[in-house]
Amino acid sequence: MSRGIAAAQLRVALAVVAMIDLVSFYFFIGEARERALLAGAPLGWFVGALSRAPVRAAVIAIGIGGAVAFARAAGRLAIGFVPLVALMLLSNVHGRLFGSPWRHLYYSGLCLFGWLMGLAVARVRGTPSDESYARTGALALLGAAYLNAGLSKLAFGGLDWTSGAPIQAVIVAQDGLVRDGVLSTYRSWVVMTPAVAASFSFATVLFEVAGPLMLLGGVTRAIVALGLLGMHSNIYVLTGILYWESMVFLVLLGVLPYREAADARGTPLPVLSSPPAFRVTAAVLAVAALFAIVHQQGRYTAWANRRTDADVPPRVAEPEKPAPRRIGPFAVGDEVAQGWAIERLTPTPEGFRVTVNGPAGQARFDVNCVDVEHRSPFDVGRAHIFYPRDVPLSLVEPVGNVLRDRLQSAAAARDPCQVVDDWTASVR
Amino acid sequence: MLAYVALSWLVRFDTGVDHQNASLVYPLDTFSMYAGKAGDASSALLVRDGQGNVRRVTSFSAFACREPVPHASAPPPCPGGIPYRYDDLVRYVETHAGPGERDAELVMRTWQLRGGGAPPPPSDCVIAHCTVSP
Repeated sequence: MSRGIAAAQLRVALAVVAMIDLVSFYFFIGEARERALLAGAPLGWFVGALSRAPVRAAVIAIGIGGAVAFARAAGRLAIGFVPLVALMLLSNVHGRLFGSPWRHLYYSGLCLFGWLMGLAVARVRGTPSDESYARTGALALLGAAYLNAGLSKLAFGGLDWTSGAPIQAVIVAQDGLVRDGVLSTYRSWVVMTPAVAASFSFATVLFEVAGPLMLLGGVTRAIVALGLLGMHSNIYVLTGILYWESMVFLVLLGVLPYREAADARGTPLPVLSSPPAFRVTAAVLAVAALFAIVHQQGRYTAWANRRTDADVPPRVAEPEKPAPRRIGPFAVGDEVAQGWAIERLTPTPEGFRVTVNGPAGQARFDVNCVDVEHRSPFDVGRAHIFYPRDVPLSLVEPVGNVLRDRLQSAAAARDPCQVVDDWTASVR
Repeated sequence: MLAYVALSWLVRFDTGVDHQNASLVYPLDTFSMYAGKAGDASSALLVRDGQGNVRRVTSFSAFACREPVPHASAPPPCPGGIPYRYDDLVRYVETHAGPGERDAELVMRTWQLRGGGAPPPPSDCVIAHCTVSP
């Protein structure tokens, strides 16, 4: 029996990682939607509709169905686009809600896309079930992703990126350098030893830019893949940021030897042995990529300069608006229930917050009408009265009940959300 | 591969929620996370006790703070760290409201990273005075 991983095993692994990513989007989007709504961000119809739980569950179910069908046999091109489109929609919604996409969720779609492109090439060549092209396509796009990551650091951070300061900054912001174990001692040592941080930065850029060399195969492929795996492992230890999907693909496509089928043809030719049309196309694309990188570097520099200017505005002392003493039926100092009294009332972007003090300490209740899936036992119609999740309900229940009753009787027959809006508008 | 690189650098959008450059045409991306310049300083939200010892925010199970703890989108009282990381910790404080046993302060601890040498001792900026429970 020959050693190595076969194309069929790669296909199944690819589908499994895509399915895990699809399911994880359900939770990530739910959380991002709630955050965006609490921050008062407008969602728009597309993001608003797709981020709703039933809709995103349906998209995920369709994507998983497509991934299963794709995994079951070689050469299934059209059905392979189903999980890809599902991932595309969900990532787009998540990126818009969160403010930035989560890159670790890109690798399954990226390798799936490369696989499908390879299948398309095999089909054009009259060998639709030859998956060697597909495997090469997936590896090519994995290498391209790392090339982009390395180019981004050079384009946006410049050679300064290899000074080690970016790595020190991320460790500090993620960890806080609290020395409470072996890992935190290692993290502190890296931050306090700039030469070590600089060597990590340099190695990161080096291995990322070398990503496409994995296409050469053999020892080169394994060295680059192992270097990138080492980089991801070190990042995880230093910052807790884990890119497990890309690590899985590096092992499957880069480290493990590939067991080639007897009729496989999709091994890339050296560039100089390729047909002239291929060489011309490659040159045109390389020039286009160069112009695009220069263009984005210009945009980034302009944005960074604007941000720097905005960071140091001329400070004009503005009189601070006093905190309101009353919002609707709630007033500071009011006894609420069982020794709990209202200590503070604070307008928030989406409503207001009631801070109460009592025998067990302090608790905050958020009164708002944000369109989230969570419900609270103190809700009045569409209006929510959220309580701290980690406080036992029994502790805050008497207070929540009183707040609910007051809101209910003050709203009377009116829409409670309209009432909350009116109250908060008057104190902002 | 070259087509992917060219397209992913051509197709970049600025998202509405934040002013970051972000690619929204999955799976095209320039993978530019943490690619920018680091800046001169970096900060983290921590808890400091009366003796000046710092602990992670997540080391405590209950917080009762006298001042509201602002989110990253609010005007910052102290230099900020990574906004989403800071907001995660503020949310942790908010969702762990409860009676505290001892006095402590929520601080933004900042390290200066310029100069190429080891960073000098950090400086703290107090965000809120609290009582906390382990």
